[in-house]
Amino acid sequence: MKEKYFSTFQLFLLAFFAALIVVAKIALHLPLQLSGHSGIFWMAIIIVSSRVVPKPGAASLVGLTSGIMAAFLGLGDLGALNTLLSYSMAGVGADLALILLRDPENYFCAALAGVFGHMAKFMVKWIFGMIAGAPAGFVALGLAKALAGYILFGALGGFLGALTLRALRRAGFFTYLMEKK
Amino acid sequence: MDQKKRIAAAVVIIAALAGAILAVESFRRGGTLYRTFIPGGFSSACVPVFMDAAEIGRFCEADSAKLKKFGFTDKAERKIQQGWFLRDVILLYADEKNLSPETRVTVASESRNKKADLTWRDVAERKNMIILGMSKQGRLKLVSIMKGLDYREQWVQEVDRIEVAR
Repeated sequence: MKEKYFSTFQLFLLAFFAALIVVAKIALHLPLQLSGHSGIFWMAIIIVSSRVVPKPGAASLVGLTSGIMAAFLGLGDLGALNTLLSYSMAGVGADLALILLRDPENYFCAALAGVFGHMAKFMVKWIFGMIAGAPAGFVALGLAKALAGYILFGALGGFLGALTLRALRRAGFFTYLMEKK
Repeated sequence: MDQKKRIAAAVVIIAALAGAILAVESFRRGGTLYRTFIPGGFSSACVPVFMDAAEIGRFCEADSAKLKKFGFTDKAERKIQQGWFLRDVILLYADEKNLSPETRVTVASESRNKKADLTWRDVAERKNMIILGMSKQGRLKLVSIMKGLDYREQWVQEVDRIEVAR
């Protein structure tokens, strides 16, 4: 029988990470009036998920799943399709970056993958704003400033993800995962 | 390819993407790049002026040269808003004798789905500074300091129709 790309256990883990992104988006708020500051949470989660399930497509699946959940919960300010696509693209962007950068436990690689993912999300919002003609909040605030915010918080999120992964490794989580797989 | 080269490639890609986004946005919103490559002036079509549903003229760049420019500093962003009095524009095509203080003047933008309904009394009063200014993209916009029309949200950008109804 043909082996499935993701095992049931891996799919369970990815679904858990997706739910964690949505919960983080709802529950965690930083008192920063800066565009993209929530990226510090969800890019960290996406980077961790890409190493916990070390297969290309894992981050994309987390993005897609969290996007579906967020769309159903009515999150986002530009409608369900925008929410679905922006969450999904955050995962796809991180996934594509990790194909090039490979090691999400490396601080630089993780930070850059975080930037890619977060920029992909930014681009979806930007393109939607252009098509709809209704400027997204970040356009009104100044696009360059908003883009800089997305890059900064994407990088911080990626870095936080790498820190988490190293802590998980020290705690023996990956040895535990090898046994479970 | 070693790790350093991969990181360098990623940084280059991010810089290129950010640059592309900013360049496209600059063109789209009439920023520095737009002004560098596309010279100023009326870049759009002339704006038709109607009186009682009949077109009495089209306000074009050549017509604007006949009028004197005025301006004011807007209170929100402290920017100078400069252009031609709407009054002067209308009087290029209409006789003042045909206009009463209660004559309705509508300045509209179909593309923005916005309009400003005014009276000739408001328009004729110069201290109201009801001006047709030009945006960075070379499109006309209605700006003013008159109460009820003194905020950016109330201004009409991309004006494509001026209507006078007696």
